[in-house]
Amino acid sequence: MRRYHLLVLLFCAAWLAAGCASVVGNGGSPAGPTGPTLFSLTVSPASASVPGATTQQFSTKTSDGSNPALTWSVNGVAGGNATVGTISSTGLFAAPEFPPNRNTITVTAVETTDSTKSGSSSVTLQNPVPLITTVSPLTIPVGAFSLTISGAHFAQGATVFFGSAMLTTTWISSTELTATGTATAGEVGNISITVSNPNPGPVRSGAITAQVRGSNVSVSPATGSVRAGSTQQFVATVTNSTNAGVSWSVNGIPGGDATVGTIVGNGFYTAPPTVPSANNVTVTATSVADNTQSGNSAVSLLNPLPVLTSISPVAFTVGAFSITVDGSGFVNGAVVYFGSTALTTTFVSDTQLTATGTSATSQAGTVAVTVKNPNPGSAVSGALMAQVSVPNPNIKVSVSPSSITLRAGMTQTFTATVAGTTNTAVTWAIKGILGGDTLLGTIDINGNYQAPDNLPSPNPVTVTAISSADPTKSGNAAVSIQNPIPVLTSIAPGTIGTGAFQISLNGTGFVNTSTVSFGGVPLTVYYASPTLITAVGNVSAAGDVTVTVSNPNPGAGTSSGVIVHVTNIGNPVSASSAVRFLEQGSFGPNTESLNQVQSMGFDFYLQNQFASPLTAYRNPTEAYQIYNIESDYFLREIAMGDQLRGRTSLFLNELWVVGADKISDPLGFTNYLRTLDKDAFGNYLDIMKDVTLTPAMGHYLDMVNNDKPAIGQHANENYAREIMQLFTLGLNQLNIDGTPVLDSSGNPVPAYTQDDVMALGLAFTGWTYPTKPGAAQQKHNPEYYGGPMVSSDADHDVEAKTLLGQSIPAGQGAQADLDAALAIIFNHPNVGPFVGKQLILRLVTSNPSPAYVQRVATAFNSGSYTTGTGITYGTGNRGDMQATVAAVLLDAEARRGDSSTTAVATDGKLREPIVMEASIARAFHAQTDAGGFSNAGYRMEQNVFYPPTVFNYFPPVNPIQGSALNGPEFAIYDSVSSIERINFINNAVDGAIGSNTHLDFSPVINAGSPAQMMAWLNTLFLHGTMPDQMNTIILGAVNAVDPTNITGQAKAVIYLVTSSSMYQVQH
Amino acid sequence: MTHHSRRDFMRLSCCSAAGAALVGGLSKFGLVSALAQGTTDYKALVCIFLFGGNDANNMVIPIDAQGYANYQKARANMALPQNQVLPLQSGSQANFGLHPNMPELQSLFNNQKNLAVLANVGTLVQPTTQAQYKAYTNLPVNLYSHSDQQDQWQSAQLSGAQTAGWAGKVADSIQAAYNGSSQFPPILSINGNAIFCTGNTTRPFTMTPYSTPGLAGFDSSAASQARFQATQQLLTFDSGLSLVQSANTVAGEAVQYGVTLASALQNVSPLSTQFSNSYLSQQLRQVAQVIAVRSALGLGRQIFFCSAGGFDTHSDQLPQHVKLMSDLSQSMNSFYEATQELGVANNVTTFTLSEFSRTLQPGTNAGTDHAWGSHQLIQGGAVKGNAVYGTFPTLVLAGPDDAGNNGRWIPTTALDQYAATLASWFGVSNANLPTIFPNLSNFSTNNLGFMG
Repeated sequence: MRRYHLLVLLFCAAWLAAGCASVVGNGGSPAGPTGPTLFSLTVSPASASVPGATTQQFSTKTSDGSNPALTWSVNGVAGGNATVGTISSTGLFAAPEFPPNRNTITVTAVETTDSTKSGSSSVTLQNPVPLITTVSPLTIPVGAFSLTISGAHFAQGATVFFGSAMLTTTWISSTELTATGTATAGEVGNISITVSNPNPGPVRSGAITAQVRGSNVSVSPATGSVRAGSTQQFVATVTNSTNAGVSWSVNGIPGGDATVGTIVGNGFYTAPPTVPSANNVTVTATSVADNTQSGNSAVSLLNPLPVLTSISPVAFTVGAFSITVDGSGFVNGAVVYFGSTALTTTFVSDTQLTATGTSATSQAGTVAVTVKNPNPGSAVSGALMAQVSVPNPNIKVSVSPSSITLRAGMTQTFTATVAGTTNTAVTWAIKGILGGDTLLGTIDINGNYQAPDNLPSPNPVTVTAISSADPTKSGNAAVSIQNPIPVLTSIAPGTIGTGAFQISLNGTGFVNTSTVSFGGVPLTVYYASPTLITAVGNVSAAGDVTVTVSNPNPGAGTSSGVIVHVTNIGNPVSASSAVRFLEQGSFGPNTESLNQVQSMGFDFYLQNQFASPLTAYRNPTEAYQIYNIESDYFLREIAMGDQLRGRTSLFLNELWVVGADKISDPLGFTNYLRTLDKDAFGNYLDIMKDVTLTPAMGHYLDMVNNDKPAIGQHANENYAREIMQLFTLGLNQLNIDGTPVLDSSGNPVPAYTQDDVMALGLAFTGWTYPTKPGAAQQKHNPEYYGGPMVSSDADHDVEAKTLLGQSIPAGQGAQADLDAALAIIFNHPNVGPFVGKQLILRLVTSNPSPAYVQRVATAFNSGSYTTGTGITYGTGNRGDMQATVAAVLLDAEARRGDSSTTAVATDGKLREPIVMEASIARAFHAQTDAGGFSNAGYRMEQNVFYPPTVFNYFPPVNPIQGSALNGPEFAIYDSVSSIERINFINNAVDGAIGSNTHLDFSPVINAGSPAQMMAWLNTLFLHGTMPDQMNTIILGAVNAVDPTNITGQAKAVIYLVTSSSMYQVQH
Repeated sequence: MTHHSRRDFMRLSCCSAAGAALVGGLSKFGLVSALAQGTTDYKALVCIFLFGGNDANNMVIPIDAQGYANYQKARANMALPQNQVLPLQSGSQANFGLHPNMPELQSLFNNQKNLAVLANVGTLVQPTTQAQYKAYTNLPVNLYSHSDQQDQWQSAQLSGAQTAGWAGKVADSIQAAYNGSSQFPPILSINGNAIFCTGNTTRPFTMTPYSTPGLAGFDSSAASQARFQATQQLLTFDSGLSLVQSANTVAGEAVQYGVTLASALQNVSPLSTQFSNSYLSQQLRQVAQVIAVRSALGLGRQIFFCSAGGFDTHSDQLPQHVKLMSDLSQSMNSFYEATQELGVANNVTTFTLSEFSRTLQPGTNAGTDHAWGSHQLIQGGAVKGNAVYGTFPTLVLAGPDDAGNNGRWIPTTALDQYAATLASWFGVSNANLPTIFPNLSNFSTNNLGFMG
C-alpha cells in the first residue's frame, strides 16, 4: 500500500512541473523582456505521462491572445491513430490501451491557417492501470493452488500478487490471467489479490480480497459409546487441504493400546476387552499435512452386553439351589436374576457365572433367568427359562413302545403312561428338545414322531415324555433310525456330453450318505433333499450308462437303474459363450455345466434341456409351512437338472404373480408352482387357461366366488384388469417390436378400456374353489387348493359381452365364456411382443433393441424359431414357449456379449437376488438344506413368494436415475439391498448363509497363486471380462493376507469378485 | 404446550454461564445434542403412501342427513353404521366423520386441532368436468392402473415416463438454501426405492425400520482393512459398463452414508413414545429417531417416505379396512406424540398419499374396485387443522361427480395443488413451483391454505 501512495505522489509532481512549461513557436528563441515581441503558441501540459486507455486534455495559449483554429496531430499524423493514440479537434488525447514500442510521442497543435505557428507537448505513454473484476476461486486451501483472474487492461508480462508475494503468472488475454502459487498456514485469513502491469508505468490494480482457509479436521461420530471388545468406525474429514491424510491416536497414544483400545489407519477402533477405570477416552485424528490440526471424538467405554446361552440345571424343585449360567460378555460384578430375585453370584469368567438362591413354592412353573452387568453401560441379557416344580416322589412315567427301529422319514406314534398322579399330561421331547427338530425328528403333542430325513447323531435317538405335574419326572423310548430304500425315478438331463458333467437324480428315499454309481463308477454326490440329489463326474466314452443310487447301512439298499445317454456330438463354443448362456438360461454356471455347454454347443444343450424330465416339488406334509416350500424352491434352483425349465418357470412366476401373504396354504402354493413348471415349455394359451383356473390365482386376484353381480353391485374387476395389464397385453397397444402404437398426436393408444375391464369381469363370473374329495359342490366351495376351480353356471353372467371389440355371445356357460375371453386376449397382437420382451428382460438384458423384441415376438406369433444353421424349435402354433425361449437365448443380441469385440456397454441386467444366491451356491457345489437363502433374499428385498403386490418385486420398466437406461431390478437396489448383497457374499465366504450350508471353495484354493485364483473366478463369474484395474485392486488386497493362509487368500478373492458390481450385473 | 417450556430451558441453558457449565457437564452422551438441536429452522415432510388405493369413501363419511343417506344407499351392505362413525367437530359443525377405528385421529382433529382432511383430491391435468371426462379431454393417462397412478401421485407427471418424483424435485430446489453443508441426503426412505424420493440431482438414502445398512465382516486386521479398501475401490473404478456404473453409484453412496447415519444414530436416546409393532408404526418410529439426530446430519430440511400396503381391497373389505384404518390412526398418532417429545411438532408435517380411492358401489365379493379422486389426511403442528378442505363429492352413483356409474369421483382438487401447498410451506419459492408441478398453472390457486 505504501508503494502505491508513493507512485501517486510522483505522478502528481511530474504533472505539476509540466504545467509550467511552454513551447516557443517556430524555432524562436526564448522571449526576453527587452527584445521584440515574438508570437508563440504554447501547448499545455508541455509534457505528460498518460496511462493506457485514459485521456489527456491539452490546451493552447497564444502570446497575442488570439484564438486561432488549430489542427492537432500525434507524431505528425493529423488526429493520431490507434497505435500512438488519437486526438480530437479540441485537443482531447486518448492513449492506446497498451503503449507502442517507442512510447514517447509528440502531440502538436498547428494553426490551421498558418502552419508556421505551432506548439507541441512530449507525451510518455504508459501501461494502463489493470482492473480485476473477479478472482476464482475466492477460497483457497493451504497448499498449492491456482487462480483465474478476470478483468481488463492486463498487459503482457503482468504479474499477480498474492498479498506481497508474486505468483507465477500466465497472460491469457488482456482480460484474463492465470496464476499459481502455494499458500502457507501463516497466510490463513483474508488476503489481497492484485495485478501489476510491467513497465512502462508499473501500476498496481485495486485489490480483491480472497480467503485462505486453514485445514480443519473433524471426526465423526463426535461423541459415542462403544462396548468393551466392540468396534467403531470413525471417519475423519479434513477440509481445506489437498492432503486428506490423518493419523489416529487414543488418549494421545498413537494407535492406542490394550488399555484404552486400539485404532488402525482408517479409523477403525477396537475397544479394549475390559473397561478401564477411567472409562472416557478421546479418539483423535491429526492432519498429516498440518499436525497442528486435529479433531476429537469423546468415547465412553461401556461394559459389554451380557448374552446368555445356557443354564444348568434347567429344572428345579422348590428350595435352595445353585445354578451355573454360560454365555458371553459377563463382567465382574454381574448378577444372576431368578425371576426378579437377585442371586448371590460368583464371577467365574467372562463366559460363566455361578449363583445360589432359594426358590419359593410361589415360583412353581416357569421362571426367567437373566444376567445383569453393572455400570457403565449396565444391561440385562435375554432370558432363558427355568422350570420350578413342587417335588412328587410318587410320579413315574413310561413310554410305549420303549424301543423300535424306524426308517428315515417314517412316522411312529408313542404313548406315555403316567402313574402316581391324576395329572397324566406329558410334554414330548427328543434329546431334551421339546417337540424335537428336523435333525432328530419331530414329535407333536400327541406323541406322533416323524423320523428325520437323515440318520441322526447320536443314533438311536431318545424320545422323552415329561410329566407336566413334575417336570423332573420323565420316561424314555429309544428309536433306532435306519436308512430308507432309495427309489430312482428319473435323471436330468437325460443326455450328457463327454467330459465333466453334473446330473440331477429325482426319486425318493435319498439320504445325505447316498452314493451314486455311474456304470459302476462312483460319482461325487451332493444331497439336496430326500427326492433330489446331484452327482458330479467325468465321462470319456459315448454310450448308454446305467445309474443307480445306494444307501449304506443301517438299512442298506440300492435303487433300480436309470439310463443316461452319453454323446460326443456337438458344436463346441467358447467358455465365455457358455458362461453367458448359462447365466441367461440356468441358475448359474459351474465347472460341469460350463463343460457341457462348451462341448455340446447351444442347440444340442437346449434341446436336451427342453427334453429333461421335470424335477417335481415334494408333497407338502402336514407340518409344512410356506417357509418349507421356500427352502424346496432354493434347493431346486441349486440342484434341479432341468435348469432352463426352472428359469422359465421363475419368469412365469414373476409375470403371473401370486403371493404367499394371501396364498398361505402350502398345497395351494405348491400346486401353483407345479402348474407353472408343467406349462413352462408348452403353449402360452395353456398357461393362461391353467393359471386362470388355479384356486391360488382365483383367490389372489378375487376371481374365485365372483358371482354375477346382484342389483347395486358390479362384477369384481381385479383379475379382469390385471390379466390384461400385467399378464398378457400391457397398458398400451404395441407394435410387433414392442414399441407403443402412437395416435396422430404422438400419444400411446390404450390397449383396453374400463368397459373392457368390466366386460371381462362379467365373463369371469361363476367360478368357485375345487370341491374337496368326498364333499358335494356348493355355490361357494370352502377354500381348497387340490385342483382347478370349478364352474357354477347358476352364478355366471350370461349376457352378451364385448371384449376388445369382439363379441362373446349371450347364453354361454362359465367355461365357454372363459375360453372365448381368453382366446380373444391370446390372439391380440400385443401378446407376442409383451411376453417376448418380458422374457428377454428376465433372462438376458434390460435394454433390448426393438428389433430383438420383434424377432422374439415373431417366434411367439409363428410358434417357430429357426436358427441360422437350420435347426427349428417349436410346434408352429402361436404361443409356443420353446420357440420363444430359444429365440430369446439364441438371438444375436443375446450372444453379442460372448465376445469382447461385439459386446455392447449398455447390455446386461442386474442379477435378481434369488438367482444370484443360487448362482453362488451352484458355482461352489453347495451341500445345503437351503436354510438361510430365503432370509437372505428378504434382506436383499426379494422376499421369495412374498412379492409386495401382483406387480412383482420390480416392474418391467424402471428408469435408472442418472442414466437413460432401463433397469427393472434396480427398483429393488437401494442403500439397504446394495449393502445386503455384499453382506450375503460375506456370509457365503464365511460359511454363514445357514448352519447346514457348505460351499466348496477347493477349486479356488487349489488354483495356485492369487493370480491363478483370480483367473478361475474371472472365467466362471465374469466370463473373462475382468478389467486390469480390478485385477490390480484385488491383488493388492489379497497380498495383505498372510501368504501361508491360502484359504484366506481364496476367500478374499471370492469376496471381492462376487461382491463387485462387475459380477452383480450380468453383462 | 410442553414444547414452550422446553425452548425456555434451551434459551436459559445456552445463553448463561450456568447453562454453559450444565451443558459441559452433560455433553458426554447425546443428551446435550438432543437439547441443543435448534428447532427454529427445521422442517420435515413425512409421506405415508397407502399402497393399493385406500377406500377413502369409508375413511371420511358424511354424517349430515342427506350426505349419509346418499352414502348408505350406494354403499349398501358395505356402509358403515351412522352411529359408529366418529364425528369431526369443527366449531358447531360436524358434517363428516372418520372410520370408527380412528379415534386417535378424531381426537387430533377435534381437540389438538392438528389434523386436516383434504376432500376429493386426485390426479388432474386441468379442472375437469364430467363432460370433459367422457370426451377424454386432457386426462391423466392410465387412470385406474395401480402402477401408473402410484407413479403419477409420486411424480406429479401425469403422462409419459416418470423420471423424478415431486419430493425429489422439492429437495433439489431447497438443498442449497437449507442443507448446503450437509453430507447426508435430504430424503430418507424407510421403505425402499420410490420415485417420490428421486430428484434430478437428489438421490435418497434408504434404511429399514430396524437397522441402518452397513458392511459386515470387517475387523481391524491389516488383511481385513485391505479388503475393505479394495471393496470401496471396486465401487468407484470405471469399468465402462453402464449398468455396472449405475450399481456402483448406489452401493458406493450406501457405504458412505451408512457410516454417517450409523454414527449419528449410535447414541440417540430411545423415544419414550410407544409405537405399535406394525410395519407402518415402526417406519415412523425410525423417522422420529432420525429427526432426533438432524443436527448431527446437518440437515435443516428433510423429507421422509413411509408406506403401508394392503389397501387393494377387492374382496372382504370391511374387516381388512378395520385393521388398515386402525393402524393408520394409531401410527400417525404415535408419530405425532414422538414429534412432541422431540419438540418438533410444529416443524414436522405428515401427510397421506394413495394412488386412488375405490368405487362407492360394492363389487361382487364384498370388495370395491379402482376409482379416482380420494380424501387425504394432513397432520402436524403447522397444519391449520380441524377443517375439511376441498369440495366433498356428492355420493350418488352416476351423479354429478361420478366418472361413470360405479362411484369413481372426478377429483375437484388437483394433486399438484395439494403437493404445492406442502412444498410452499417447506420453503419452495412460488417461482419454482411450476417446474416441479407442471400442471399447477392450470388451476386457480397454488395454495389450498391448510398450512399455517
